[in-house]
Amino acid sequence: MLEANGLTKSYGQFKAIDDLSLTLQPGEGVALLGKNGSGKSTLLKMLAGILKPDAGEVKVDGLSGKAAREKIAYVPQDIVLFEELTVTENLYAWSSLKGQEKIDRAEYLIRALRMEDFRKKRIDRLSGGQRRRVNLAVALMGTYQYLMLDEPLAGIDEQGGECIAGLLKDEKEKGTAMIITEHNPTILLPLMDRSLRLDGGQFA
Amino acid sequence: MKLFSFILYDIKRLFGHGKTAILAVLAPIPVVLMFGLFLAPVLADGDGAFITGALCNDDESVLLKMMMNMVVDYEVDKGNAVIYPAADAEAGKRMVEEGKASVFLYIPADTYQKAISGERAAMKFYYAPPHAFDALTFQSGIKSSISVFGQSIRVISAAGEAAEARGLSGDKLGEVRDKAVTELISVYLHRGEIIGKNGVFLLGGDYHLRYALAILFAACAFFASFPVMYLTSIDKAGVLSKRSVPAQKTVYFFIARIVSGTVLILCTFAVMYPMARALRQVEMKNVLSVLPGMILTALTYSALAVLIGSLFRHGQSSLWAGLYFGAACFAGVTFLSDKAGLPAFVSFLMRISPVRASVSIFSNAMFNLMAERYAQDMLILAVSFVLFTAAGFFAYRKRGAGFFAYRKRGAAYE
Amino acid sequence: MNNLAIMKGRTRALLTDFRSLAIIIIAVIVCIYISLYGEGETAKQIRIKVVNEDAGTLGAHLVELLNEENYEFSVVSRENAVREVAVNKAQGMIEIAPDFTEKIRKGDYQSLVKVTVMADSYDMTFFTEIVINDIVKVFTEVLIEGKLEDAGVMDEAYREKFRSLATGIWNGESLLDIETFAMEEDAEAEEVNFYGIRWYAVLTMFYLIISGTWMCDYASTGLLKRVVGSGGRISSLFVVQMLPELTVTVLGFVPVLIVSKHPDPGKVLLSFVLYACSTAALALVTCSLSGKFANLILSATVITMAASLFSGLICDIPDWAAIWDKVSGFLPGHWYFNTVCGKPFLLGALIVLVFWFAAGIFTSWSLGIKRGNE
Repeated sequence: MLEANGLTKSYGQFKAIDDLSLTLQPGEGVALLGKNGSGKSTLLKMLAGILKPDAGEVKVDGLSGKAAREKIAYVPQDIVLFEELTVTENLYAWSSLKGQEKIDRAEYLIRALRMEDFRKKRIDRLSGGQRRRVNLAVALMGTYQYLMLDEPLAGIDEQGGECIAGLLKDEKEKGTAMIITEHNPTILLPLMDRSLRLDGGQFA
Repeated sequence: MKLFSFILYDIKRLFGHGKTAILAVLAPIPVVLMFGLFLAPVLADGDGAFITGALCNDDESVLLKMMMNMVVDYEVDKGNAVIYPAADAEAGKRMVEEGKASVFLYIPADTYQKAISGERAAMKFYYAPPHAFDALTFQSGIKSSISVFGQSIRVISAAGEAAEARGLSGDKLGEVRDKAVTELISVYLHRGEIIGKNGVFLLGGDYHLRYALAILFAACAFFASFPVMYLTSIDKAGVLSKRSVPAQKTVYFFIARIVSGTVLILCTFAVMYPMARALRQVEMKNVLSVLPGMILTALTYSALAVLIGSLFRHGQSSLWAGLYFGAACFAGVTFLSDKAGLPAFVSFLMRISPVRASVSIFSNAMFNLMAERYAQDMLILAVSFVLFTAAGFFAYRKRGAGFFAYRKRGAAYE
Repeated sequence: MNNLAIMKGRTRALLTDFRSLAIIIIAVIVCIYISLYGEGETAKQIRIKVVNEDAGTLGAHLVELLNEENYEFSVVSRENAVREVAVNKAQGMIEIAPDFTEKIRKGDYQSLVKVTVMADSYDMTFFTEIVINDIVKVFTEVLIEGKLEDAGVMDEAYREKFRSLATGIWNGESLLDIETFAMEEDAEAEEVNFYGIRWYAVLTMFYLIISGTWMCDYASTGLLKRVVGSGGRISSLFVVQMLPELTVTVLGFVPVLIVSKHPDPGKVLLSFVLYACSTAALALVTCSLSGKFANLILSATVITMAASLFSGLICDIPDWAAIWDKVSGFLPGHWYFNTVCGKPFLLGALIVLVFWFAAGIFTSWSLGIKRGNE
């Protein structure tokens, strides 16, 4: 179980997240909703251990710190890839950076996200939708029980959305819990067990 | 994945990021070519004679004739010059005009006699403008020694007059004077041997070219590190701060970047070195002493580039910082490092400057190796490399948001 | 398009981008300094260590003669000399051999000193010649003293007189000289200096190119396509955006020009304005081709160096390079340099301006439209 207690984060005078707590059960899917600037990305980053909260803590299965963070995968909203390498090289490089060499996993993700046609292309020569798929695949290269997805469908066409939804469904069935921020989560709704709406740094 | 594979990926990234790295490697070509264009006539004469000249000696003095013959024979034997005799001054000038000779030296009648009797005497040196560069270098070299020769003759003459006043007979005086002049000419003909070298004129006349070449080497290496700064900044703001990278793996990023930067700079050297060899004959034995200097320079500049890149979140900012820092360092080396009387602090900075050390290594190791200076410069580069690496790694981790490196402030609020 | 609004925006961006503005500020300071102080430098500041191991007295006499030369000589121990050269506290060392006096008295001139020179400076070229010449002076004195002794006319009183006579001659003018003539009258280089206003022009070119990231964006984004599509004109957009930068460079030029004391400031100023305009158009070509700042920083340096070198702005071009003088006619610096040299030809500068303006607009347009379509 992932537990967050009293998370607070301010940017100058602006309080982005204000004393916020939540729990996430294994295999649970949560839609994190809210308008632009409501603090969704900040919350996800704090849960994933990318951003340090001003106050509060995150525990995963009773663990904190490095051990906790190793159980979480994070998909950033921005495309963060090695632009100069090919799709396959990106997957291999990121897999090794996460401490594993999982060629099988890379091949599985390439198939599941239908990236076979452009697997040998450099990232900077892909379309926005294709890059988004690679961005997701890279995050899924490690081992994790909790997934934080920050707008994984931005700029993705219907077909791409379906294959991402299919992949996430498989993950969920394997017991992976996930929190997804998405402005238009229709295609992902079947994966969601509940939704939380952020407003003014707190759940509405 | 082994570190080695990651280094290969990083090299691919560095060379694949736009065309910046390719530009950096190729930039020395126009730079060295421009430098070479200044020396074009020297290069065009290339392996052959340094200068093709004409000589007309209207002075009947036996001693001067002997001296000129010996100088000419020596330079011709050494292959430094091809000298044609000219019948008279007009014929010599015509040879220069027609391009048969690039310079013409005319010695008017009674030159020696005038000099020895205390009158001003001038030889005339004509050159074709297309050969001004080598001709004037040659002329500057001989002018100072001829001028001292003239002074020496005057000293002999003045001493002779005084001796005559003290009762030395005219015959005896002539004998003493002739002997002294003969011995003096003999010294002039072997003046290089005074400092243990061969040659008559222009001993070490190209120090400024060596220096300029060394600065070009170092400057091009620094320029080649710009893509390293840029990519490091981009990675800091992107890959390293927006994804979860375990802390120990950021070491991979760091080492790989320094190594790939070093490879990029060494590629620049690989382009420059053959061109420099073509411009100014560098003996092959010196390659061995230059190589360690090149490797250490490349490592140091690469570590410096990673440090600068790590300090900035925006690629452009790091490039600006690199530009100003590099301009300041190279301006310091070019205009200050050889000056006495600087404030102690500036003088100290110049001495420990890794940029100065790298320039010095190239000028020293490529041409005349002074082991103590070489060792000192290598030490400065090695210490700089360690310091830049340590500071760079601190900056890289501090703001790089490895998995542990939480950023306290300034995170992109998205 | 509202040209005034665009110009205001560009002015604000220019004045708040201190990173590029600093170049022009530094250029003004450096070039004023060069105009005021930069032309009287000598090699006096070059430091040379002398190790006098001579067992006799002539080594010290050589040091006396060396001290009259244009370098800073100081006598130290061998260890100190090596250390000082090693740590760059000196640019060279002269080791006077222990048997220096003995050899000279015997008439032996081989390996009297050992010279070690670091190519650390532009001013080292004739250093070795100077050392050899001074040794020859010592040799000459001893040679004559010896001959006069043999002839029986040298005593202690006369020795002193002779030495002061010799010193007077060494410090005076030589009677034997070489006069130098170039074979073509018009090829003879005129003594042109004014490095302050010449180098300011070089730095201006660098500034105009490197501050042109907005010009990179012209070509690399779809901006131009939108401008053309909405009925705008690339040329007027370029002129309006470039005006603030040109104003800044011309304003910076004025104090440099005043300090330079050029005899014809009016023509030089006009020529500089034309030069800056042509250079701005050249910057547009460079920026359009570079596409992004990382490439621009490299190309700005190389192009500035090449264009300025060939125009004669950085340093005087060799006399033999008459071909450069013709080839560089298409470069803005050529005409500006000629004006600085007192040979103004403003029509040439105008033709070059038109050429570069057309080239800039065409490059920017063709690349901008091409990339806008991608």
